[in-house]
Parts: sequence; C-alpha cells; structure tokens
Amino acid sequence: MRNNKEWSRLDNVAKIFPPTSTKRDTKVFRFICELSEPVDADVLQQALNRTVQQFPLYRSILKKGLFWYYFEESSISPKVMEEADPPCLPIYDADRHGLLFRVLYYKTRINLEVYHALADGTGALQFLRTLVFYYLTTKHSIDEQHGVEDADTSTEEKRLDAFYQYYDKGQKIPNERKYKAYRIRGKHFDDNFLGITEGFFSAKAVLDKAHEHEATMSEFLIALFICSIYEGMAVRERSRPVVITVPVDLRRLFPARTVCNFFGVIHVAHYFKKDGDSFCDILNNVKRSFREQLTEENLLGFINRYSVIENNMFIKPIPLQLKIPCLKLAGWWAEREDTAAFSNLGRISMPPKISPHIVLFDVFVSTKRPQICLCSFEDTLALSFSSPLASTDLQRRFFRKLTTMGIKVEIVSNLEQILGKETTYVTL
Amino acid sequence: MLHCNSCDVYLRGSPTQCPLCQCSLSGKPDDTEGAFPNILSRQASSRLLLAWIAFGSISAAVICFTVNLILPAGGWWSLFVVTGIGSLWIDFAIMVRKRKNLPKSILWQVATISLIAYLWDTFTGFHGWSLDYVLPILCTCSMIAMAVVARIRWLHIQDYILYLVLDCILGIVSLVLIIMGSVRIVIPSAICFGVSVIFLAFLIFFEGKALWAEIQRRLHM
Repeated sequence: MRNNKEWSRLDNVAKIFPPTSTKRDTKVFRFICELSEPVDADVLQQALNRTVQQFPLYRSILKKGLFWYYFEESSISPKVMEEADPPCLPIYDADRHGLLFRVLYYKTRINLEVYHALADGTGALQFLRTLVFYYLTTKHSIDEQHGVEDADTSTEEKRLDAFYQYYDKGQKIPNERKYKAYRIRGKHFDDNFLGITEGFFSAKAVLDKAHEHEATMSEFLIALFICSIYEGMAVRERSRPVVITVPVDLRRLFPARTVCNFFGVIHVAHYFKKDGDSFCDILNNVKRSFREQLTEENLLGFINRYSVIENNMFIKPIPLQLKIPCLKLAGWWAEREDTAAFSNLGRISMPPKISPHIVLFDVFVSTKRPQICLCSFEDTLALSFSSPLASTDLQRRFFRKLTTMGIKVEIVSNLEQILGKETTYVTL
Repeated sequence: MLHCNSCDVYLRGSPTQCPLCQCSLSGKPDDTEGAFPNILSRQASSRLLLAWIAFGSISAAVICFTVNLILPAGGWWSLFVVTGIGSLWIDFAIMVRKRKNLPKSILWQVATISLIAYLWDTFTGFHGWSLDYVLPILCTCSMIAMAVVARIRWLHIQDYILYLVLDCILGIVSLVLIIMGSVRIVIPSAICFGVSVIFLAFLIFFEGKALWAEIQRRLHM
C-alpha cells in the first residue's frame, strides 16, 4: 500500500455545495442515457471500472480540513446498482465517507448521479459519455478507434481549478444586482420527494419556432417559462419580478478542459408592470438580458467576484467550522433572489458508430424551486422539470404552450409513483 | 401510445392519468418502458426503536421526578437520575452520529466521556476521580482500541493517524496534570503518559511521512 494518498482542493464554486446540501436540496444532479435495449449490469460494471480509471477524481471522497474541505483519493471501487429509490437522494454525508457519484440502471436507462461539488453538468457529461461509449463498444463489440472527443485530456487538465486560472486580482469587480424575486409557493411533496416531469420533442421543431421569433432556443424557452410562471401569479404578486437563474458554461468563453466545476450564472429578471406582460415583451427582455450579460467582461467579473472571496487573506485562516454557518447563510440569502432556474446543457454528440443504440440523453437536478434542464441528442430534445412542489400547474401551462404551437410532446414523469403512494395513504 | 386529450401530449409507459392535468387518458399503452421504478416504502423500524428508547427514558425521568416530588424526604435524588439519563443521551447521540468512522468515534468518546465525568465530578464536590482515573484510563484504552481497529479493519494509515496523534497528545496532558498537582492517584496518569509517548514515537519514526502529509492536507488554506 502506498503511504501517501493523493489529495486536491475543491474548485472555487464547489466550496459552497457541502455546507448548503441538505436532505431537501441535495445538490445532486442526474444524467440519463436511454438505450434502445435493456441495460446489462455486468457490462455496465466493466465499463464503469474503465471509465473511473480515466477520471481519477471520481474516486475521491470529500473530507474536512481545518480551513477548507478537500478531496482525498480513496480505494473504494464504485458499483453499479439497479435503481430502487427516488431520484437525487443525498450523496454527501460528512460522517460517512463515500464516493461522490453513483451509477444506477433501470430497464433501458443508465443514470449517473453526481454530487455538484465534484463536477458541473459539462464535466459530468464527459464522464457519462465515456461510460456509455465503453458500455456500448463492449456490448456490441464495436472497435474503439474513434472514441469520445475530449477523452484525450490529461488527468492534470481534468482536475484543474479553472477559476484560479482565470482569476485576475487587479480587475475591478462589477456590482451584482440584487433582486427580491417572486417565489412560487405551494404544498411540497412528503419525504423531500423530487417531482420530475420529462418532456421530449423534436429539437428542429422548437428551433424553427425560436427562429420565427428571431431568438435562440434558450431565449425562446425561457420566455415561455416566464409566461407560464406569470399566468400562475396572483395579481397582487405581479409587482415583484420573476427572476430566472441561467447557469452558463464558462468553458465556451474561457478555454479549459477541466471536468470540475467551471460555470457562472446570469439572471433574467422580468418586471411585468415595467417591462410589459405579453410574450413579445418578455422575449425582448430575455434577449436583451442575454446580450448584456453574456459578455466576456461580465463573466470575468463573475469569476473575479467569487475568487476574491476565496483568496482573501482574512477569510482563508478562519476555521472551516466557522465558515460553514456563513456559507449556509450566504446560500440561503442567494436562494431568495430567484424564482426558478433554467439550465441548457446543449447538444450531446456521440461517435456515429454507437449512436444508433442510444435513444436519448436527459438531465435534471435536485432543487428547492422549479428548475428546467434541457439537452439534446440528435433530433430529440429532452426538457425536464424538477420541482419539490406537488402542483404540476406550471409544467402543464408550459407544455400546453408548446403543444398549441403544433409541437408533438411526449411526457414521462415520476409523479405517478409519488401520487400513487399518497393516494394509498389517504384511502388508509 | 397513450394520449391526453386536454393537454394534447403523448405519454410513455403506462400511467393511469395525465401527470400534467390528472385527466384520464385515451389510446393504448405501447411497449415503451416506464422510466422510474416503483418506490418501496422504507422500513422505519430503526426510527421506531429510537422512538421507544427516547419515550422510555423520558418516562423514567418523569416518573422518578414525580415520585421524588411526592416523597421529598430522601433529598433531590431524582436530579441524579435525570442528569444521568441526559448524559447517556448526549453520549449516545454522538456515538450514533460518528459511528461510520470508528477511529474518529473513539476519539469523540474519549472527549465526551471525560468531559461529562469532569462535570459530574465538579458538581458532586470534586473528589478528583475524573482526572485520577477516567481521563488516563480512557486515553490509554482508546489508543489500544484504535490500534486494534486499524489492524482488524485494514485501515489505511491516513484514515486514523490524526485521531491517534490527537489521542496521544491528550495522553501527554496527563503528565501536565501530575506536575500541576491536579492528580492525586498517579499510577493511571503515569501509565497513560508512558503509553502515549511510546505510541507517538512509533508513529513519528515509522509513519512520519504519512503524518506530515496528513497535517499538510488538513491544514491547507
């Protein structure tokens, strides 16, 4: 046995996740790859073993130091399991050191659940694509010549803290606008259940609709989302803005090949009294927000704002146990500033030889307020609502807007399991 | 594929109603698979056991207190019972919380039990038994326990070295207590000091690198 285990620091954004994870908001997200045939557990296990070798950081456990959390290499080998629990259950437990991800399968689906401190969506997606690639090449004896792109990234590049790389100490930090956003209220599911409603439709059909309005797909769908939220608001609540948080993958603007966290957020805030309440008004506002905020300067400001706190010489020597309550408070404060979130993971590509075996990719995240996550594979656009709220009014309004535009929508959800349970409970 | 006429959406799998509007569905379920498994209701037996133990101890405390109120002749003996149950619960709670990491749990037990013993000793007229016996014996035993646990469970040196070192340092404190004259019965403290130094020396000479690495990672800023 080697004497020294490898260890590494958490990247900048990751530091907020361990103190703010709770049973209600586990900070776990799930990627799904649906295949055209049932999943073979043994082959999946082999594929997982190979994938983990390429992503050594996934073998880490999260531990507490005196000043910060850190990842420590562990000898635990990950095991694939058949799914039997609700989605996005807690992964991190301060008193039980386990791996920070799990691979589950159910019928034709391979599910990868990742703790957000370990990676962001783009990082985890690389892991899943590699896993699916190895699974399908082994299962169907396909030669592995043209693998998943980006797979040649070195281990060092993969675990790089890109925030640290782009942090410029001399830069001025722009002020962040604060909002007191409208919050959707309502009954929550029992036992911290997370309601998932997945909708699948043709990416081209939606893109055509978006282009009709001279907007990108994200802008178009966010405008629809805000409209759907607006219709559910009471008149007296309409004075408050609807604020949508939109995570942005910083790798697109700042080249980095890290598989850790490297994302920023922008906010789309819409005041109905001031900005108007028609779909066109909303869409124009969304487009303007995107144009103003999706700039290199603004996102660099985001990187600097976060890094300056972490690298402050007065904050560094405060013991972690005292930092934790402050981080909790900061997380709680930030929560009040948005109504919902919208996260677009973009197009997922797989090598052409294995694509025919894949039906779709999908993604969703644990959350305290409604959140939309979407990604597309070939022409299938998967848009998932995750929400702890028992009401599905928002989802219904949103999907009905799409169907009235003539887009064919297929729905799948886990509400039946939850509601089924609740009905039996009531009849007892 | 099933279809909801009011929402105009198609439904995969075989749900009984539309998840969006809860209306009934038309069409026939096709062979598309459901995407989520049925969730088995969780076994709550451990919670139930805990509830019974908690209920039992609260009842015992209350009964003692009530009897004491009715028959006050023997002094306030029920306070001892109530504090005793309280102490047990504090210790039990810490043990349950830390149970997943054995060396850490052992160190926590040393700290908690020593502290509780010291408080008991102080409030019952300080006879010195907490410092004479409890602290040194606990420290010594826990060092041996950690070594045994590490051996049996094949723990990696870095999984326990920090806890063992902290325990050794606590053991060396017993010498300070002897010098300061806080300890009247010297034998347990002296043995504890000796064992601590031997353990510490062993760790530094044989596992110095691991110890240094552990200190570095735990103290990184």
